[in-house]
Amino acid sequence: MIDIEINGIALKAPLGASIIEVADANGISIPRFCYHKKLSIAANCRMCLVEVDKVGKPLPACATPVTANMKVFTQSPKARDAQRAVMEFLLINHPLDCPICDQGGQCELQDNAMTYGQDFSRFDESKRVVVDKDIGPLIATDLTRCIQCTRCVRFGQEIAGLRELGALGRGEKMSIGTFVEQSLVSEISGNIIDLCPVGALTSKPFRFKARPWELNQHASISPHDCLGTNLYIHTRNGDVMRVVPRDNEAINETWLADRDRYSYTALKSPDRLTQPCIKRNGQWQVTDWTTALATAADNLMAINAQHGSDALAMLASPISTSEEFALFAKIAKHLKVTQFDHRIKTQDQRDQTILGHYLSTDTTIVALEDCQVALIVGSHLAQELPLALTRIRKASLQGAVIHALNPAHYEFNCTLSSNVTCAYEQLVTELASIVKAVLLQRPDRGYDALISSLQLKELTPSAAHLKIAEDLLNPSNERKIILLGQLADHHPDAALLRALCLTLNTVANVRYFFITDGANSTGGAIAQHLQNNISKPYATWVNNAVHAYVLLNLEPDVDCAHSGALVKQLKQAECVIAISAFDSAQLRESATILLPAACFTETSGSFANIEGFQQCFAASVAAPGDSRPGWKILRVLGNLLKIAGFDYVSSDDIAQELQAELAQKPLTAAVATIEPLTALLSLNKKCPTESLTLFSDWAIYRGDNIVRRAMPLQQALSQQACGIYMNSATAKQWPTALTLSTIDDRIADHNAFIPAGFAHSTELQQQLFQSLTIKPTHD
Amino acid sequence: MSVLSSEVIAQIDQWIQKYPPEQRRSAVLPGLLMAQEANGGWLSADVITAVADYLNIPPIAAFEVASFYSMYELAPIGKHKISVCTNIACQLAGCQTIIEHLEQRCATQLGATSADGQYTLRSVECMGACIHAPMLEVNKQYHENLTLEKVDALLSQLTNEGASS
Ligand code: SF4
Ligand code: FES
Ligand code: FES
Repeated sequence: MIDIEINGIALKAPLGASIIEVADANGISIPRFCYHKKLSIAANCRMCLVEVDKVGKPLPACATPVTANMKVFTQSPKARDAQRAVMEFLLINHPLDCPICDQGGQCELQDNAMTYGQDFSRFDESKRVVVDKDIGPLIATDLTRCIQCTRCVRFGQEIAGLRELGALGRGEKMSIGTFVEQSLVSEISGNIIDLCPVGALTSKPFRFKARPWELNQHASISPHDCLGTNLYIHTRNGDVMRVVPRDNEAINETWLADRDRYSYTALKSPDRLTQPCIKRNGQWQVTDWTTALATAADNLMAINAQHGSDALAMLASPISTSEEFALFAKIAKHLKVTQFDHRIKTQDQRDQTILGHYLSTDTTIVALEDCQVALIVGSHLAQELPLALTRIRKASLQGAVIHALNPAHYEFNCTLSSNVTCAYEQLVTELASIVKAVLLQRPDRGYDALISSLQLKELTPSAAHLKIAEDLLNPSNERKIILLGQLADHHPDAALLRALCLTLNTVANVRYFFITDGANSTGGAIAQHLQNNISKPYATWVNNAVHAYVLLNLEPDVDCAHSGALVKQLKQAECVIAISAFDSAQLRESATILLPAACFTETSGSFANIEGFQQCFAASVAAPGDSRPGWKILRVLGNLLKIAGFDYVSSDDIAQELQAELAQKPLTAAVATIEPLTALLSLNKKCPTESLTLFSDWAIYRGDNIVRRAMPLQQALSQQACGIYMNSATAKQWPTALTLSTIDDRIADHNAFIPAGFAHSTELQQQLFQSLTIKPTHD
Repeated sequence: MSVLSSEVIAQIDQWIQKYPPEQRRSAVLPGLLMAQEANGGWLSADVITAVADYLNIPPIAAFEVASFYSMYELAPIGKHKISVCTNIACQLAGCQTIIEHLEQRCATQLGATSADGQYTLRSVECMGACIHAPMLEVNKQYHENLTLEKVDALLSQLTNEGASS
């Protein structure tokens, strides 16, 4: 630490820090445009000029490191003069029409011009005009307003790792643009809206809808992925107008994925379910809450009495809140229902009987950027968890060794040591080979039982496997992480993949990070854990004939790994109670009672992120029409089912009870010992190894009922439409009559990929096999 | 056939040799120039992408360079590209009259290509030939201490060359 002085105030500053960093840390304001704490220093706007004692010229505070006994003046006549002059130059080419600019009221240029500029202009020549570019459905451009700070360009290059924007031309003619005019593809592109200090880049859906001073700000949490991104919801007159990031260094830093930023556009979807409805004699009738809930409770009790609890099943989407899960699980327990689960997108939970429920990671989100070795298995990380990838990218830039193993050659926007593509059904064998390579290099530890287990016995690790094992065992690599993505989580042999990761965890101290669905799979796991694991994984009872279903926040035809089977079962069920924020034709066909629920912006509750960290949020707006928060619906249902102790007045009551229970019986990270691992690895493989393997996973904006209705995101998704994707060689070998096939050379040989979450995904899977001229050996 | 011919690749490789291996991107300036020359004097989007891919840089980074320097052409140009310096020394020495004369003789405007596709007139910054200002460059040749007569002679020479070839 060194001593410096800013505006006569004595301060301590770390050596090597820039003047602007020290000033920011001490609450002294210095104007800036190009500087941003998360980006490299460009020092091209000159707005941050300050006077430094004994230096003739004013210096840019963002690019000048502090030195011992430096005396800085940010407000001296010399500094003010310089700042005023820069401001005048910046405004030469900037339109002075703030009233018609979308940024007005939240513009750094406007603010700085008020503080540092003059109230008149000496420039009466004509101003530069730049033609706007169409860069997609999410971001509007008004490039005449650009002040060429290059924050947007640096964001692409440094944070997103995808350089899409550039500074084109030179001097006065310099303008921001893409190479050939095209939409941005980065999954986190919306952040340039926040970064742009002026109104050159603004949110397309929000543009000209509201002024910032009309908005109320509410803290909230994103429901879409397991990081638990912190956000602010901006509302006006009870409507959500936009979503912006809320800083949280431990989770999303200052960023927001596009999915989290734009999903609010679904809230006003015409599909919103706003009234309770009951199907009578095949006809839907609008009803009141009392009737709807009483009918639901009566049906459940009658079927339970008549056919027993095995005739009941309860499914919840992983975007449900912890409070909803808690009540859901309590109702299940009361009715003695064992068929209840939130893991609707997965196919394999065979490890539950051996390991129970545990946290999906034994490390932190921040640790992703500090790791020295990362092995990413079965994950299209850029789409699954865009902000986890920015962390991995940071690690990679610091020299971390990153390996990836996937059924397709996905891009990771950072340097990888290896990016292995293997067939989907080979994922287990490939990972097992790596594990075996690790075990073989540690002959001293007595891992014979493990090595002779079913998955490892016959394998001979290749050079690539040995290299990965070497990186994992290298004593100088202390911080090692294995990430299992959603492709792995949804794999028919997911339990084996997890067991292999836990083996690495046990024998080589590799931390695990199992990406889960939605914002609150952990909340679901906690609810089950607290009910003593009485539930049976959904994958085990998919085809059981059930008389009554309760569905929470999910759409049966697109949200489940076994959607085809579920839709079929629902058709035969006597009673299907769907608690949902959205209506759909499919729901109308399957359900018998529709109960309108609130979305995440309209309810209070909490989400537990992948680390098990519970984050509470309050409702920002009222739910539309008669719809009610999910926990209230479940509470009244519980009352009608005569469950004792169901008198929660607020979601907070439930949260407190949950915390108390959790304190008694916390959900911990998996501690695997050799025995259960050996047992797990001796399970049979399920993944079909026919000559053409189909794999499927949710497209980035098709994963839950909210994003699926966010129109701007759907437009951005256009390059990833529902269809069959195969590489050219495979397509030639397995010609299909279906017109929906697309060549994607990233896909592994003999594999076909169908994105899930579309109305036709399931159908297409069946059609594909029917249309093949040669039939694979598929049952 | 790939967008860049093997000759162009060989030329770019020579330039890559001159930089440290991790600085492969430094060859972007000569790389674009060579690719341009082999492509009839201008850079199409395909050519820029090919150079970028070869140097492992994002296409937009190569496009930034191509849009920055006046020696790169981003649209097809005339047979002869005449680059007239309009920087300060040449301006003081009267480049304006030279330009007006050129515009009239070539029947086009500064910055444009003549209808017959013979000439493209370009304004460029200082070419380092200030002591002999005003000056222009055509076909990699400097022509200095320009007078209207010299310009006429040059133009007829260019036309004749065109006719004889
Ligand atoms: S568009 Fe905005 S962020 Fe990008 S350079 Fe211009 S002013 Fe800066
Ligand atoms: S903020 Fe320092 S030069 Fe731009
Ligand atoms: S100013 Fe024309 S050559 Fe230098």
